[in-house]
Amino acid sequence: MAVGSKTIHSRAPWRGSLAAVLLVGATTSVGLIWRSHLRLPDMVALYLLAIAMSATSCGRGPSLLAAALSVLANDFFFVPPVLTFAVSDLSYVVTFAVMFIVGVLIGGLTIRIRRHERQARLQEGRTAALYELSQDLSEAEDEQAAASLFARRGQETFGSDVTVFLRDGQGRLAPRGSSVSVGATPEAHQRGLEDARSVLENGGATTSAEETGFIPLKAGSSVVGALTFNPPLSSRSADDADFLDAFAQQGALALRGASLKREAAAAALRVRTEEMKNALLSTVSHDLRTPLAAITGAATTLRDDPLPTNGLERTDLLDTICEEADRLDRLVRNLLDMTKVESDALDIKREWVPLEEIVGAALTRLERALDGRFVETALVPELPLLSVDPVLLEQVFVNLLENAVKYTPEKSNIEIGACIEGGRVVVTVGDRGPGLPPGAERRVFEKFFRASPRGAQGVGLGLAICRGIIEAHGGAMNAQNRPDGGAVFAITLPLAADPPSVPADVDSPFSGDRTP
Amino acid sequence: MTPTGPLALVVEDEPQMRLFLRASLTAHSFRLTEAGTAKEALASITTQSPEVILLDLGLPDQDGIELTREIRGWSSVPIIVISARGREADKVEALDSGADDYLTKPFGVGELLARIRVALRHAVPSTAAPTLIDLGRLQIDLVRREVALDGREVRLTPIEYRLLVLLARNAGRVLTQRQILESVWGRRHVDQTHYVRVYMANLRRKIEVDSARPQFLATEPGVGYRLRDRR
Repeated sequence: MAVGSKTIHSRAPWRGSLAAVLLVGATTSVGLIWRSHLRLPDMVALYLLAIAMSATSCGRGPSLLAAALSVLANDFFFVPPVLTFAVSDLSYVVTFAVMFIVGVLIGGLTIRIRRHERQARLQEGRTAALYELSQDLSEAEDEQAAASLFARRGQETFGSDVTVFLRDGQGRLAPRGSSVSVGATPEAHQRGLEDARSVLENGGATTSAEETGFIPLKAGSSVVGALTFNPPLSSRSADDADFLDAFAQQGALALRGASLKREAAAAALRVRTEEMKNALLSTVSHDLRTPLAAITGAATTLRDDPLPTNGLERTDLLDTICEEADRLDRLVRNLLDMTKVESDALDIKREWVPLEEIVGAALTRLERALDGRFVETALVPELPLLSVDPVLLEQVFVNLLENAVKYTPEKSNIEIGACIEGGRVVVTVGDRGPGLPPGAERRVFEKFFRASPRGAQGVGLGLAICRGIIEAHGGAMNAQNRPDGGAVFAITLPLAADPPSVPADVDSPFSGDRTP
Repeated sequence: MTPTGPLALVVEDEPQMRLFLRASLTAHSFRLTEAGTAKEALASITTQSPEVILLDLGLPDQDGIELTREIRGWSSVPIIVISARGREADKVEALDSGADDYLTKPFGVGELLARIRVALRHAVPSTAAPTLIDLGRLQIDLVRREVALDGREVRLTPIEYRLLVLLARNAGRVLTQRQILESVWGRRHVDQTHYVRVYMANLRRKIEVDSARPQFLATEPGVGYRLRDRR
């Protein structure tokens, strides 16, 4: 569906002229064949028909040509003396003049009617295109999607590849949507970028737009970006230019709408962040002070008590100091991790790692906390290497296991399983504790959410950190209660396409090989 | 009672940490010398020749990793770096620069002493090449190239054997991925970290009861591996 200017004058002019010549020739032939039956006025009428036909189908130039040829042919073949251009009766000159003028008039009229009709059709097409554009753009999810869609629609409408440049966060122009792949011609894009910038710097002035082939995208008084065609659109009539303007404006409005939507979302996020900060402050002040109070209390007792406290009490106080210091350490660690996850400062260093190693490292780290518990690990042996950040993923398992230890009775079992499901690896950590309170399956991953507010220690950050890390890996986390009791946390991670190979080792029994 | 044990140099600029290290080390009969800056540390190493160095990576006048490299230029005294958690890259760099081991703040006395003991043990050059590495349940006969777990022979491939021997010779000590790759696969393969991971997994399947809960071959995430010395 190309409703641009290209179709209007698409036929080559020489073909129209040829058609006019052929039409006049055919009329002359007919006149010569039925010479005995046709009178001169009949011939005039036939020639007028030929002129009208060439006007309808070929346009102004050919119709003029047809009129001139008709006059000449009529004179030469039918007006006595025949086969000369001489005219015996002066009244024939009047006939010729009238014939020519009528021919020109008919030609002009037909062409005007035809142009109006074509214009109406074009307008209809363009209105439909603009309508579709605004419909589609209003449904675009974000600025990026809107820009891509806009570029695609532009390509369909104008039959030329389109690149849309938009301002980024710093107000600089960047290519955001294109009907061709952006990576395809980086130099062209670089050049385009500079030109587009100059359009913006000129406040979208038309002069620079014409020089560079960039069309500014203006929404109201502000320029939101620019668009460019490759190859550039040629032969723009006033109508075409108007349509292009309307098209660009429609796009600009939609894009500004999308950016306003984004700003609104950002504002909402800021409000939420503010609320979160307040929650954090109150939690931190409470949760940091509790262990600190215990440590201070125990330490001052040990220092100030004039009588040597009895051995048992002394050990208790020292244990308290160690335990509470551990708790403080965990808390600070969690807060730091959460900050990293939150601030997008999570630097994922992907490496190829067997899942077993990550789980093993977490179990080793928690050896003491897991003392006395039976941890069953059932990882299917054919699991491929995962492309993940081993340090961050170990943290996920440490948090999940610490959680299980915290919320389930002593000596209850913990089960870790892994399997492959539809191109993804699903790892589960299940416990045999009281399970999640109803409705908490989603909320457990929220920051500062605690399943049992007073019972267990912790700030309610562990699972939020897990989710942050897993989502940063392109995976997902969920929690649910098990039908036979306890809770299970599932991590779903996409499997990377091609795990690297490892050079084969001589797999012969080694002990027989004694060569140095 | 004046301590008579090995001389330890503590390079740390925070007074509280120094107090803790002084208290715990002298209580375990170490002799102690302290430095708050890299400059003091270098002076102390040249004049007092400590037998082990505890080096905090965050010093006011010089980067701890740089200092490690400098010391390694002329001394093989064991260096244990002290670093905060989450700075795995620093630890790896320090180890690859010649540090013997690392401790993550906060740490307890038990951990500190264990690391120092291992570092001191590996610092003494053995005069005769050992013929047997005995790690209790795990024994490696270096002459016959045989590995036995609880007295039963374990069949290893050549690479698995090389990997195990490397870790066993450094029992108790952390080895970075790079150090392992360089030693087992050669300098050209130092970036192929998955080699180590895959072979380590194979090795665990052969010598661990539960390969997901390793008793011998511990992973130090983001850093490397340590064969836990349970003697």
